[in-house]
Amino acid sequence: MADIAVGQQVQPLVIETVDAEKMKIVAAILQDPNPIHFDVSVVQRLGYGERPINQGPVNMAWLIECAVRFAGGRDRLRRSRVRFLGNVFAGERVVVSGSVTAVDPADGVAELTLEATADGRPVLTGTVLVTI
Amino acid sequence: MFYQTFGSLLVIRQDVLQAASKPNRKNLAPRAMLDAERCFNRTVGRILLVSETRATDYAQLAGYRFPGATFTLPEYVAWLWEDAILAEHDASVAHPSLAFFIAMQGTGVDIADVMALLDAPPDSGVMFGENELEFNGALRPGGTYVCDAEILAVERKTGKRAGVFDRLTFTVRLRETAGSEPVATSTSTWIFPRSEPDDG
Repeated sequence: MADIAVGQQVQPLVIETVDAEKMKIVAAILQDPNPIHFDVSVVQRLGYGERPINQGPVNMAWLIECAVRFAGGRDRLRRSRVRFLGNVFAGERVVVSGSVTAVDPADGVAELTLEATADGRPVLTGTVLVTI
Repeated sequence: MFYQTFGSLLVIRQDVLQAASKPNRKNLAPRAMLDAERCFNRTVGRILLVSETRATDYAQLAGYRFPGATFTLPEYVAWLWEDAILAEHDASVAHPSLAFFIAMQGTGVDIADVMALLDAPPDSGVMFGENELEFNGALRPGGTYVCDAEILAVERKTGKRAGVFDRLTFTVRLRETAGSEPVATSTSTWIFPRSEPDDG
């Protein structure tokens, strides 16, 4: 990748609608018994609202996917650090965006600082180091 | 030893271990130890409340090593994961976020086991706090990974919004062969709520 510069914007990744049905598949894949991902009654009882809550690793995967697309390949990911700020609920619109915050030509890497929002609410932040 | 970190519960747990027909618990394999823990947590443990006294006990879980496991990433799981996260399918390079999934398999226990270690039932509202993935190579659908895992820290915290919670940090290293440099490392922090948030 040429001409990567600090301040360059990353093409946003947009998930138009978070799908509650996919949460059930992910719960099975991850063997995650937490019912907040598939049982609305538990979500209500815990005071989290009326809709299932997306799995954190999926939110993280979207942030990573945004970086992978920018870098031009999955094998270009060197490191990701993410912090979970809030829940993503079924039906919400998720947008991952950010910019290049550091470039190290000697090591051939760039750092991206990214943020994910759900219906405009910050839910995830992270920095990702990619090979350039 | 893990069972020594819960001093007030040791007598009960010895009973559990004896019931598990392990006459010499010094030689108890980690997996059997965890099975005993699961048995304990799913029976007697439900009547116990988390107290400030026990908070320090959880902190002593630092250094605890999970059983670890060798795990092969099924190609169909890689495909289903890509489908779930709306990513393109790639049969040669797995999505990097699958490092988290492999890491969880690589602990040798499942998510419920990790929750049980901190006496948290599945509906207790456990949340992810942070995660770091480091890569020295790409993951492959169908690839086999030798994993080892350990708890780095358990910290009792109090937040105005979150209330009292325990913060568990553990790391898992994924290697293509035993003893080789990790191809990936996953370090995760989970939040275990211990009280109602302060609405004020």
